[in-house]
Amino acid sequence: MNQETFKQSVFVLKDKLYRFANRFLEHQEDAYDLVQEVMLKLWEQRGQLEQLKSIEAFSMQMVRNMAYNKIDKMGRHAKYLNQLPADYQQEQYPSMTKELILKMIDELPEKQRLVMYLRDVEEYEIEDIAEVAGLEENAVRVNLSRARTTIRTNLTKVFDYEKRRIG
Amino acid sequence: MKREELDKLRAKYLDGQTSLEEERKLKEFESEEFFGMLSPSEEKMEWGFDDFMSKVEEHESDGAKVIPFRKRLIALTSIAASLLLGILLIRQFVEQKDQVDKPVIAQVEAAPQAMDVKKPSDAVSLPEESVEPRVEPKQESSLNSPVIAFNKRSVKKVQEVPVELEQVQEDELYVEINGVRIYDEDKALEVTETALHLATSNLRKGMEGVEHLKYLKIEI
Repeated sequence: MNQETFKQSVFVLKDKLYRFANRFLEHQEDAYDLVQEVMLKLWEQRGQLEQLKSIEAFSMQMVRNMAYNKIDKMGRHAKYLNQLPADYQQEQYPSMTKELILKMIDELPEKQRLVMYLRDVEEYEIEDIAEVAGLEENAVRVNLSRARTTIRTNLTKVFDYEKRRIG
Repeated sequence: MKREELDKLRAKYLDGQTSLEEERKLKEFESEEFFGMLSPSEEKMEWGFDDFMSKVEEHESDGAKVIPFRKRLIALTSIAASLLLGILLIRQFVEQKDQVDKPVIAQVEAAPQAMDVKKPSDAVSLPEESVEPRVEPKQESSLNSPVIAFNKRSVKKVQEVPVELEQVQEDELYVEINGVRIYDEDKALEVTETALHLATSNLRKGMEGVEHLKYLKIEI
């Protein structure tokens, strides 16, 4: 794989990888560094990349694994730890921003979080999610269903809360 | 999109059974903000390909890859362990060798004052190597009871002649074997050679042969 091919087929994934890394890591700088590291690794392995079924799934998997390693090193200070309720309840007029949904997704159990993010935000096919998350397709659907139901329930609570406050 | 159809789709969505296409429709038509917010994120990473390539060059020009401390520690520990193992093996090998050598050293030993065959230095012309080494079975270690090990057939008992008592005869006495003193030089030489031959052949047989020697003293 030459420089141009790498740019077209691998480097273009950087934004997705960055957003995905952000789902795991608390600081954006960490996500930035992580993606750089992943890209360098991919560059080193560029000779074998063309044999892969999906470079994107492979790269995402790499981000996920490296992010987990990083989280482990940081004493499992995951981004999703108990920050959400305080955040949105303190706001007087919480607007339904995308950021809020992402925060809710981040609060989900690990598998659900991964699956819902990849499907509903990054619009991955179930098959690709299964590869990235290391799950069976059926398990992906089950986790997806649970995640969506939880988010939906939480959002309803927020809406109701807002209506009461405004009312 | 009809309301019933939307409800159906929403239920399917919550069940995790919708296709990407159906989900896109939901995001497009659904009046609830929830689906609208689930559009693909536009967040970008500010990083150009040129920057990446310069980073690659920088990375490659460093020569060695950046090895994490943990990996380096594992490598160093492996090297140290290998060295230690090597040293231990060599040491064990040397010790084994020493153990094999020891019995031989213990059996053959020079005895500076002990004499079996006495001979005036000016009169006898035995070859140096056959006369000079003084060979004696180490009695302390391997021959605790020389009498038991005595082999009458193969050993000629030779006793030392006290110098003070035999002062007169000393000049002419060449050798004393089993109490018989021999004054004839040729005879003494012949007997001495035979005695030495017996002694050395016994020594060659190793530990077993040495045990057959009761007493052997040679003095030049």
